[in-house]
Amino acid sequence: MIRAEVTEKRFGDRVILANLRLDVAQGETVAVVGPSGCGKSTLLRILAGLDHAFTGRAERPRQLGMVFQEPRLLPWMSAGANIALAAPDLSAAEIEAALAALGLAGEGDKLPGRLSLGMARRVAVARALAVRPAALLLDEPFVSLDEESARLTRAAVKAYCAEHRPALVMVSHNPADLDGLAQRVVTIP
Amino acid sequence: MVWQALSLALLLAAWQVAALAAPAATLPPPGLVLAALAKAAVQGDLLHHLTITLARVAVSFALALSVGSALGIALGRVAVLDRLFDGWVVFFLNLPALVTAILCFVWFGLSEGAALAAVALNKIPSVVVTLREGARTLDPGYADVARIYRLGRWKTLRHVVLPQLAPYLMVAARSGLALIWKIVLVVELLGRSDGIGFKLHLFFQGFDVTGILAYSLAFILVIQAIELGFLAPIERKAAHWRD
Repeated sequence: MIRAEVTEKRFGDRVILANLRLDVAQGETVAVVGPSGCGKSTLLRILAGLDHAFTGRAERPRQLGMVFQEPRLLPWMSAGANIALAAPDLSAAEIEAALAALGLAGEGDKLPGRLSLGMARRVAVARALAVRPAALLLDEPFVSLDEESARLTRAAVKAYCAEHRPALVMVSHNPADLDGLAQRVVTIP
Repeated sequence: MVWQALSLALLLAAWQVAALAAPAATLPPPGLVLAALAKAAVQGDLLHHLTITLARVAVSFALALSVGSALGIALGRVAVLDRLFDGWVVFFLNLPALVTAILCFVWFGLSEGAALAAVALNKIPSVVVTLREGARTLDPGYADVARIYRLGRWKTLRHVVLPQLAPYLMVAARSGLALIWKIVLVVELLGRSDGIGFKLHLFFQGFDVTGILAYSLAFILVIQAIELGFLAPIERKAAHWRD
């Protein structure tokens, strides 16, 4: 379960979020939409526990998976090693399966710098799913992805949600991205 | 490789020509110095003193790098500490090695600990400055990843922080080695009764230029070997992912 009550979040004098309440139950998938700069990513960081400089409170399960707008893979480790670092209990075969589920079979030994942006983003999704998260946070998961990568990402997230029923929060500025992924849409003005 | 060999041959030739023009006691030719080096290595005490000096270089290098890195990272990450101690760093950066060495010997006696402390204290400020710069460039995005996946302190340091600091650590290590071995010689000359610096002092008292050049050459060759055989491979390994 993810729960956040944000009374106020400011950057300097500018109020980014005010009087916002978001509860997401296990198995529920919520899309947060709104124009660029409205505070969607900030809300996601608050939900993830990466931003504590706000008034209000936020709760989340311990086991979190998050996909940032950029892949944020550690560039000095192979794609497989990036997953293994986040999910140390997985065997090599399980890591390969996690990559294969996102169309990346056989790519585990490559360094992130050798992958296309779309592939690197999919590795980041594989990493987020590999930790078996009870809550999954996705920041613009389909933006600037090629069609194939977007399709594979959507399918992998859907399959994970069907099997493990995490609380999922997905941020998007493009409602067309949601495509049946979200049961509920929260709009930030 | 060819150019390096050519460059070395040119240096030896220039030395030989200069030696022909100068009195033998002032500048002995390379052949004589090399012979003295070989003799000192086989029959003399060169290896004994070389080992002692290298041990001092190793200990003070490790001390300066570990303490300097920890302080540098702290100053680079905590703005209050940086503001508070920036003046100290500048002060110690500008403190001549000779002054530190003399003060350490006066305060702590002519001991091994004082010698090592003097050398390390001389190098720590520049390690601090280099690692502070490195710590400032740490990508907060990777720190977020470490927090989301609960990597813990050790894994975060090992897999997230150190790889980002590796280029800065290498700069500190290389410039550290280059500086530290020179300071060790000064410290040995001032207050130790063994080591290459001590031997150079004895040769200086007897105006024995051949001895000075032979011992210096031996030490320079060893330091070069450490640089090429140890530091350069580590640097290549740390930078493999940038290719």
